[in-house]
Amino acid sequence: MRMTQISTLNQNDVIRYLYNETTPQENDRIVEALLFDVELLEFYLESVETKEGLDQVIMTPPRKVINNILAYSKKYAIEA
Amino acid sequence: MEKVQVNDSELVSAYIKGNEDAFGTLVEKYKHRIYTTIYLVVKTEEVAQDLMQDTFIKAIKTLRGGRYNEEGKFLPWILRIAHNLAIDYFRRERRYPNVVFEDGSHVFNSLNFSEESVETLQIKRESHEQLRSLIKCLPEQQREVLVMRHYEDMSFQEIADATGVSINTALGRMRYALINLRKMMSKNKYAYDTNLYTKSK
Repeated sequence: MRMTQISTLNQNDVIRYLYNETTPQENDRIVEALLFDVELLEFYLESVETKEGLDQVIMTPPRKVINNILAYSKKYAIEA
Repeated sequence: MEKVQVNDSELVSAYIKGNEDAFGTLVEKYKHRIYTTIYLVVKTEEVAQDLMQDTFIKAIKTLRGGRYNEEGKFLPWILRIAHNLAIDYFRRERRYPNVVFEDGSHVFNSLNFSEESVETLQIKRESHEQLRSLIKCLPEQQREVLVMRHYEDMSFQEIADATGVSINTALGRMRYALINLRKMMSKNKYAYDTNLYTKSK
């Protein structure tokens, strides 16, 4: 049970590190942990890869939606 | 010729004063981000399109009505509007489990993560499309945190405050979201070619 708890906390730290929410002091400790903990390093590398994939999930709304928004804005300005 | 950089705060001020081009610039600048955020919550393109328009209608009324007071923070502000509308819709619709997918088919969706839902996922040709589909299979709480952190750029503390949980719970949900995405990728024999995700220089 104790092992699981330690592992969970470390993975949460790695996630904060992944999203640049750690302090410089924490960064040093995490980098050091990654050097010695193979499982944690594997989790970090997989998370980096998944995060890069998430960056590519970009959707574009149809042009008509944008045109509707811009038209609404112009109409709203005239009516106001 | 030197390009003049105009920040969001200046664009917002110009729009409030009546400059429609400034508004057009903001819409073009953030349309992908806002639309992706809405879509990943509501999971259908048709609804995402409606809510995208509703988001901007709300923003237009607030800006032109002189009620905007978050100068310099346009994106987080409008993402919050989008997120709230999407979550409201999602929670309303949750009572009716029939979900219309992009191809128009109606499938029963228990909105729970299960082996069956993964196995019945249609394999998309493009890797990012497949990942998009996998995000939709995540349990609601995990998907919510993932969208808020990754696409809305909220900190884990902000997410914890907004969802009424501790920061450790928010982090835990994110951790499971990442782990589950990874598992689903493996189960789908997802050819996760990292070269596809190398940003163009």
